[in-house]
Amino acid sequence: MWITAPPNCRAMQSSTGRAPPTIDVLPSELLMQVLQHLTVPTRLVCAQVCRRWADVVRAPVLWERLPVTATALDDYSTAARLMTLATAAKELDLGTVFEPPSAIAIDRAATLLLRCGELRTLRLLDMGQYTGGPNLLTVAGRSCLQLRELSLAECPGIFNPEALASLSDGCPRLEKLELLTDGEEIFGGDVAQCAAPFCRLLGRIQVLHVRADMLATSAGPVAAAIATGWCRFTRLREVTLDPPASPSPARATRVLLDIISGQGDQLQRLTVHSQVVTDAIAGQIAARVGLKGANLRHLHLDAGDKLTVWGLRQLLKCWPGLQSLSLVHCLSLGAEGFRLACQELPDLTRLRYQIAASPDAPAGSADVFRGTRLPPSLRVLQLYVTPTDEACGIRVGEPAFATALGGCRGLTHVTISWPACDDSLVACLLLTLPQLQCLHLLDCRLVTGKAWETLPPAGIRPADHASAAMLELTLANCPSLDDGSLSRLCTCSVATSLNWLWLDGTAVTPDCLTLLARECPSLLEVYIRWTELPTSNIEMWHHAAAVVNKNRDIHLRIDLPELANMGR
Amino acid sequence: SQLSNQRAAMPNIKLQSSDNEIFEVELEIAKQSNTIKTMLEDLSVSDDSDDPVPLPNVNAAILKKVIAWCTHHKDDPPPVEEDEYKERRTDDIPTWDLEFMKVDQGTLFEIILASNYLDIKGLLDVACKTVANMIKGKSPEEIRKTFNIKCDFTAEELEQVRKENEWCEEK
Repeated sequence: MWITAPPNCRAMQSSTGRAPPTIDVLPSELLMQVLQHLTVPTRLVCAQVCRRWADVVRAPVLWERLPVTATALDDYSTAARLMTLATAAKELDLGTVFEPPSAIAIDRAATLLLRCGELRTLRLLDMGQYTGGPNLLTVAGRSCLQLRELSLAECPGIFNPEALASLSDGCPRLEKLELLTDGEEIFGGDVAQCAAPFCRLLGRIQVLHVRADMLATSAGPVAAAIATGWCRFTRLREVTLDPPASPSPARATRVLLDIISGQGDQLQRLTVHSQVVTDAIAGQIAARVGLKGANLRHLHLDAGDKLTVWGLRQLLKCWPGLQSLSLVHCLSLGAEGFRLACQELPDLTRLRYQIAASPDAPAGSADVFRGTRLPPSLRVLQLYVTPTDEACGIRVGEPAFATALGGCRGLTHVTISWPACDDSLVACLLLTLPQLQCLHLLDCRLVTGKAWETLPPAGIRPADHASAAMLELTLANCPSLDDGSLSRLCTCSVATSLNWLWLDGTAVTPDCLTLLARECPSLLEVYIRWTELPTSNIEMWHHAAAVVNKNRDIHLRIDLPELANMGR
Repeated sequence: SQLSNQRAAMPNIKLQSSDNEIFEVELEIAKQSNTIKTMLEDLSVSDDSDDPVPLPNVNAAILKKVIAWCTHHKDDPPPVEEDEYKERRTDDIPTWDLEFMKVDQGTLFEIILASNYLDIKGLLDVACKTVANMIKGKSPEEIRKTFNIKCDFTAEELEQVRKENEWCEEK
């Protein structure tokens, strides 16, 4: 940026001598944009400031999102105020924090819902059906004709035949359903009569988030109807299954298999947060999907140790079009599973993989990248090797690493958490991926400054490096990293482009701040942290930070553990 | 095509503030303002003339701030989900912006007006959040004091408005 100014311009400006503008210069619609960032009670305080603010607070647009707690409804005047606000609400949260809602609060919540004609999203937390009280969903079905999303957490008995029928008939646009009930039965009233209207409702749903076994442990007739109904729930696109409450996974497994049998070819996103996916289950999934073909694009499994490479192979065979794959806590997959994912998924753009290493890891795990090529479409790679114990047998050879990454021209974000990752690997990574924008190295205990030495010198960007340049760098729990390492970093091309640097658990001293400020012209933010006591004292850090900030506009955050502050 | 050739060769444009100061900025940076972007497209501001784009509602001091913000946010990296280290640093207002917003109230309100006029959503958002943070946790009287607002309610009105907006919870 160049700035050219006519002479005396600044002088003229200061000589105009007009009073600085106050908040009154903001027109009402801008004042409203400010108030939108405030909570309900704070907005009501604002209404008491002056006439203009009171008018702005009355504007309906301000109240499109309305969070309400049951205790607020206990108070008459607060409830009365909420009644007048509710007519504009598009998003309503109704819930309790500590104790169950009072009968009065439930009554008032029902009255409130009757006024919410514009509602798109309703979330109820612990606002279930109480004996003799109104059913909030029955009310919603009568008044909230625009409802798109419904989320229920801890609402025992709220699904009764009348409420389900009311929702089905009254909210034709409902497409997202979240049932986060943990343990207590969500179905109430004449349970046998719940089955048909609940299935009618599910037939409308595109996005379903539910505890894995909830639909199977529900009262018998409902569970039976759901189990045979999946093929009719044709709008289903995204399913998230939370961990089952019962220790026996059989019911959760059945729900998963029923979903796959019914809608396995329609699903685009599947997330399973429970350890129900075993080899046997994976085989059954594959068998059910196999003949129909599949459109699944996103798969997240949090699967436990009963899924082996065999099972993973079954899954990937039936879903070859996956664009993102995330496998965590799959303790038996090892490095072989990683290689398999890379081989089988040509369209993958995002891969998150955790390799669990143990002294008795399978023999093939010794070199993760040997014979592997990462999919060229990959943009984000997150690789975690756990436990972060140096004794673990996961190694990698540099040539294999370069070959594996070589084709990934679009890979811009890499996270590696890996105790055996050393300087030569980091250097190899940087040279192979010149387009890298964000690199996060976690628990790479062997990394020192040598990693940067092979890079082109600062200020020079060879043709290959012109497309992008590194903006973010994290070095966390890398105890071998010190000021010398950073000074080497500062001599290479990374220093020219770096915006953001996080150093966590390294051996740097206050001198590194001066160095970074001098050598990294694009640096905007530095965050330095320790989990154990550092050797340098806190005053020196403060002093160094103050010196840097005299000349540079860099945001510095330095977190010392509390012990350090007390000890000095 | 001749136009586009010239554009590629000269990627800067000139902006003229209300007090006639001229700022030369990269086209890509200026285009974060939807107002300027539309002006360039609709009014086909001719490229060969060296005429600056007049911005009669923004003075030089504020325009300079706005350009600084747009320069910093020119190529924000794409967001990465599910990255634990990333999550820890996402405050409501990014730290750079937090520092950027450490200005006097007058400047802050002028930034809001300018970002609204220039239609730069990110800047407007962050400036509004900054004002909201100044309101949080204060009583009506403290808010008046902070922003130098005169209470124009009559005694009866004040009593009325207090009742009307009573709230039983903690703020």
